[in-house]
Amino acid sequence: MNCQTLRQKLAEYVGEMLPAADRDALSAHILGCTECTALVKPLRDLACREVIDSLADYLDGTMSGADSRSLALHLELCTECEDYLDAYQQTIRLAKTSSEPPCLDPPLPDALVRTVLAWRNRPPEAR
Amino acid sequence: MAPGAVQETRTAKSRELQIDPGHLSMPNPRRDLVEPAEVAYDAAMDSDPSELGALSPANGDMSLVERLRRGDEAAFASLVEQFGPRMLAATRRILVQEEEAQDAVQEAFFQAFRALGQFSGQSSLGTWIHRIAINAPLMRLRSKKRRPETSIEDLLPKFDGGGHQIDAQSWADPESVCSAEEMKRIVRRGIEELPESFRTVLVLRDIEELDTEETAQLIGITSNAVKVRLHRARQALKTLIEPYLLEKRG
Repeated sequence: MNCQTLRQKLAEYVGEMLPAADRDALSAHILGCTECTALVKPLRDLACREVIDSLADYLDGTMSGADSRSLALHLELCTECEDYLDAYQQTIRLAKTSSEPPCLDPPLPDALVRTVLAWRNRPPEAR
Repeated sequence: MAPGAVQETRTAKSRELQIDPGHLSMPNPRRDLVEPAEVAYDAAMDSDPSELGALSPANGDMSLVERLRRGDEAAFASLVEQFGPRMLAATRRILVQEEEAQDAVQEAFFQAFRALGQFSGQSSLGTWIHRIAINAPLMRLRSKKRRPETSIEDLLPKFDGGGHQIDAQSWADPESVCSAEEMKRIVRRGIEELPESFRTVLVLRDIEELDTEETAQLIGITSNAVKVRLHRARQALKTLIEPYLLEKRG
């Protein structure tokens, strides 16, 4: 695959209509070619909003293969979306670690413990 | 089954805990994957030497449960001491207001005590009671008269007419910004600021690590709604903590 092939097949490539092998070969070429990256980027830029809206599905691996490859290519070409993805992933990680010990899990207040433990002394009908 | 009763079942791939009332089946396939944090938690919950001696974790749970069923005072105290703090941390994440969070812990313990007869030991006691603790604040939220929430729109990313991002910025490494504990405080404050319906989904999915289906069943919304809320909650949280994390320029 080379620059001329991309120009010939640009519409099919952007429209995800190429056989997988051709598409992957073109993607590999684009990633290594500044000129072709500049050619494809404006076309991909149209999907910025779509890319951001789809990040959760992309990270979960629940997108179709074609959509996932298309999104991955956009992320390769678009610094803003790449930064957004990085910050989005950091947010998920930080949310998860925000509750890790030793910062939380304080002892229960004494009054609450007393109330909970008093349950066993209640008559059965009051339980 | 009586209201509030808990029933355990076991499927080939996942443990399942069903809480009545209300369509609250809670299978969690992730819990059968080998996740270090979960394994460490279960080990910590199950290996109190004063309770278990040389018994296996499952046998230890059953031993404690048997004592609870007999009304052993020390067993009740042990259960509250062992699991109460983590339960309160979980209810606080969902309810934010301290008094409500404590009330939810109390309700969860009472529900667990009433359901001891159905605990079979097929999942760990820690996992079983923690799920009840997560459900208690959700039941409170469902029974409360819902107030209009603050809109989350202002916290979502902005695009120009062509769909391009506006004001996209790269983040510094969080560890270079402040201490890990300070970052945790910043993030927890951000989570507390999220509107309730978004905060709940983010807590259940990203912190409690329930899957989409479980979360949908617990809250009573569709799986698609869970996915949409989770994505927006993450985006909003990103916006809220971003001022602390932007790369210094120049």
